[in-house]
Amino acid sequence: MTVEEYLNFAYDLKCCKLDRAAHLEQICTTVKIKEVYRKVIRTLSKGYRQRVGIAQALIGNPKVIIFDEPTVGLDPKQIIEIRNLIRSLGKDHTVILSTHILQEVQAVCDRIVIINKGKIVANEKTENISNVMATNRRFNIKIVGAQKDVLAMLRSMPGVSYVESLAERDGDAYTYLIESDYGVDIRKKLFYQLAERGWPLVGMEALGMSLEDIFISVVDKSEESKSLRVEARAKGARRARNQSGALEREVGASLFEDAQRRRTEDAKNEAEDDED
Amino acid sequence: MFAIYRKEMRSYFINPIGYVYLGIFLVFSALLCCYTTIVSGSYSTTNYFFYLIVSFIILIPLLTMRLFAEERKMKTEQMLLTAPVSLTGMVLGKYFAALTLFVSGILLSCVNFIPLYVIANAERAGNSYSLTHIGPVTGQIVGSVIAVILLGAALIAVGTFISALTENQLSAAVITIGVIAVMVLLNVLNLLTDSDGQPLIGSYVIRAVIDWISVLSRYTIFSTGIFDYSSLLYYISLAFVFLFLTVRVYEKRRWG
Repeated sequence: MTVEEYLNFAYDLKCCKLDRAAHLEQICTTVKIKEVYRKVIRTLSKGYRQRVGIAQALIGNPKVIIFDEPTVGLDPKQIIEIRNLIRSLGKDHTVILSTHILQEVQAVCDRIVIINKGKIVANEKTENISNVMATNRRFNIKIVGAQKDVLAMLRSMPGVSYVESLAERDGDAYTYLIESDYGVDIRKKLFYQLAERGWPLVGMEALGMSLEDIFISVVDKSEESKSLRVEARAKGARRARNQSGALEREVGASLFEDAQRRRTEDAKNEAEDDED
Repeated sequence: MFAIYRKEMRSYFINPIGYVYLGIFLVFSALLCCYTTIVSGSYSTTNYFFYLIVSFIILIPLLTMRLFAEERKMKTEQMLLTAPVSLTGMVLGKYFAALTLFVSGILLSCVNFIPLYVIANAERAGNSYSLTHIGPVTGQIVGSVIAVILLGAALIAVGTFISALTENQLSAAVITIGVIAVMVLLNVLNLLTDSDGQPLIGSYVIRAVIDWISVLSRYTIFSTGIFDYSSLLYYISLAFVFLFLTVRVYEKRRWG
């Protein structure tokens, strides 16, 4: 079947009432398949086939378009093209994109809904989620100075919730992982403190939160606290969740708990290894 | 429904299967007609139609095997299931496409009878007595053609149903061959006799049941030139039942 035949078939099948030639022409221009219009679909590349599928979906100007994993199996260039296409379709249609590639969601969508086992566990605008991700609370820092003293100083610093020295070394500088309390920016304070003591700060790298972290924490949380959440809802706590920043707090707190738990486990494992 | 019908018709002739079917059918029916009438020196078409029906065991699966099985394998059935077309429309569209190809084959093969009429004319011209009928009986031929079409319509419905059950064209074809063979050849059991000329199946009841189930026994009435409404109803209801079952299969798949 050629693209032309296929699209005409879809047009008939959907009992489309729009002007056939003009409508198909317009769709082919939108998804850029004009040059393969008369080719047999079987011989097309995966990217083109995907476009033909999208073209088929566009016939009849539907209000809502649902994409299920639209970029699976495409090469990076095709992925970018399809993403751009989806974004341009979003101007005229409501597009629902279902995907497991989270960067894609971030790149394309205005609103993110996370569904876990049939329940909506998060429903937020992408910018809010991005805010969560932009809030840097974990840093990799490199400080020149006696490791013990530096660790003690960092631990005693207000606003720091967790410090760990890493095995990595950079010249005479030791590397530390440091995490601040939620909503506290410790960078400036840290700089002055170190300057006061004459310990040069030779590197600071922010470890941002990725969408994967958020996804995992939200999904985990929904599984852990299903019963709790039902109670909370009954008390009207749901309203609080919808206020701006609610998700930030929720995710932040859960991530923190999560990290804490992982660390205690790691420490335990290490201790066991040492015993061995 | 018409969109699906048109697409199916087109795909019969995009794939070689439409040509293969028509080619095989026309060559086979021509040879068959030649051997059962001209070569054996007879104007009777009874044998011709009997063997033609036996050949449906192989030919009808060719038509029906891909109808749904291919759609399912290529994952294109989702498009049909989500399109604003009813399941009945979808099934009927495909069914009528197969039926059209089948009927056009049968009608084209009617040219096989022309030589019979030509020869009969020549023979009549050489004879002085006009009281005996010489040549093929047109009524019988017309009746047989109608019966064969009805029988084919029923068998195609069976094939359509089997194609909807499986994902693999080959297994659809094999199962269809088996089922159609049983439906067509069941009647043969009744014709078997032992050495004394008594029927092999002693029980009258069993013979009656076989006779009732067999699609072939209904056909014989038509082939004598009698237009039998009960047989017509039988074939049409058979087709209806299997198409209905096909729709149910898809109904289940749509929501299941």
